[in-house]
Amino acid sequence: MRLAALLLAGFALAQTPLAPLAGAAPPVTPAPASPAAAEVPAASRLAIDPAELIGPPSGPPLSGEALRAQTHVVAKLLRCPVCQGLSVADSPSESALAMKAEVQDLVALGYDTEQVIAYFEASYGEFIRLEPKFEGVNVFVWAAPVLLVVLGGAWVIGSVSLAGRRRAQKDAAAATASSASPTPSDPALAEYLRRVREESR
Amino acid sequence: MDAVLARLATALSEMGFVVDVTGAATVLLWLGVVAALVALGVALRKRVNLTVWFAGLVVTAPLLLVLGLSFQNDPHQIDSPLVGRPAPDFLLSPIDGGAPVRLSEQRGTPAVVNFWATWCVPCKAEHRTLVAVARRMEGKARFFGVVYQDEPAKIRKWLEGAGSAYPQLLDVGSKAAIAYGVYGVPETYVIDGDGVITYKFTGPVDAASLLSKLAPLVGS
Repeated sequence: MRLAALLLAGFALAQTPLAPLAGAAPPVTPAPASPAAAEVPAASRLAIDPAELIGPPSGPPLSGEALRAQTHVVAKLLRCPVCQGLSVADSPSESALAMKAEVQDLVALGYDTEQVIAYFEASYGEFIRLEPKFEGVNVFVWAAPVLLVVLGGAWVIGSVSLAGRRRAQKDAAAATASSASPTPSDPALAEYLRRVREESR
Repeated sequence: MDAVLARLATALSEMGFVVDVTGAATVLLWLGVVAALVALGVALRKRVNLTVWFAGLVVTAPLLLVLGLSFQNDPHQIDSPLVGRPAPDFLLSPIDGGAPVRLSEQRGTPAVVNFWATWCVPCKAEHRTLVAVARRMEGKARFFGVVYQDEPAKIRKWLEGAGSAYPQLLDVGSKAAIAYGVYGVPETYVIDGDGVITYKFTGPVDAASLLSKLAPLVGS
C-alpha cells in the first residue's frame, strides 16, 4: 500500500509539464542569418506585418548578446511544429530554424516574450506553446502532479504513523498479556518463555 | 440508449472533449470492461479489500471511458485559428521562373493553396487529384501550389513527369508556411472570394471533399 502510494507520487511527478524547462545550455552557433540580412530591415523579411497582428513592440530593439539570449529564451517556449515535444530552440529541423529566425527578427524589433508567442499563436493555434496555458481544463494538467504528491505524501505519512501506533498498541497488549499470564517457576523455562515472547513480537 | 449517448456527447463537448458518441459500441465495451472488473473484485473478495478495489474503480472507470472515446480523435488534426480569418498574403516566385505571384492579386475568385514537397509521398499522391480539380474549376477558382523545404531542381524534375495545371511557387525560408501555421505537408487551404480562409485540409485531399468545400464558394 505504501509502496503503491510512493509509486503513484513518483509517476505523477514524472508527468509534470515542467519537464521541458530542464534544458541544455544555449547553443554555441546562432541561427544562420541570410547574406542579405544586413541590407534588408527585419520587418520586411517577415511574412506577416507583426504590427497588424500584435501591435507595436513593447520594448526597445535588441542586438548582439542580448538579442541572442532573449531569442533563446523565447525559442524555448515555442514548440517545433514538426517534432514531438521539442522546443524551437532544441530542434535542428528546418522548420524550427525558420521559426527561430522569425523569433530573432521579432525580438530584434523589440517585441517581448508574450507578444512573440501571440504572433505564432495567431497562425498555429495554442498548440505552438510548448507548455499549456494555465486556464480551463489545463489547470488540472498543472495542478494534478502537485496535488498527487501532496496527497500521496500525506497518505504515506498517515499510514506510517498509523502502523507505528498499531505496533505500539500491540507491544503494550503483548506486555500486559505476558505480565498477566503466570511465569513458570522453573527459571530456565521462564527465560526460554521470555526469549520466545521477545522474538515473536 | 441514443438519448443517453447524445446527452453524454453534449456534456463532454462542453468540457472540451470533442468526441463522436453516436457509436454505442465503445460505450458498451467500456461497460463490459467495468462490469468485468467489478465481478473480478467480488470473485477475489476474500483476498482483496473490496473498499479499496471499488475506490480504485471509481477513479479508473471514467479514465477508461475517456481513453476509449479518445481513440476517435486524430492528434494530428489540430484546429487552425486561421479558419474564418483573412488568408495571409504571400509574394512567391514560381519554380519555372517568371514574375513573382501574389495571392491577393485576383481577389474576387476563390483560391486553393496547397503546401507540398517532393519528399512527401501523400503530397505526390494527391497532386493528380488537385490537378484534375484545378482543370475542372478553370476560371472559377485559382489554385496555387507552395513547395515547402525543397530544392528547385528536384521539384522541376518531378513536375516534368507529373505535370501541373497551376503555378507552383517556392517558399523560401518557410515564411509562407509559418504564416499559414503549417504543421506538416500536405496541407490545403480553401479561400473564398473575399480572401477569407473557409477550410483547412490536414493530410491529402480527395476530389469529393475538395469539390464539396469549393462548390458553395464558386456558386455552382
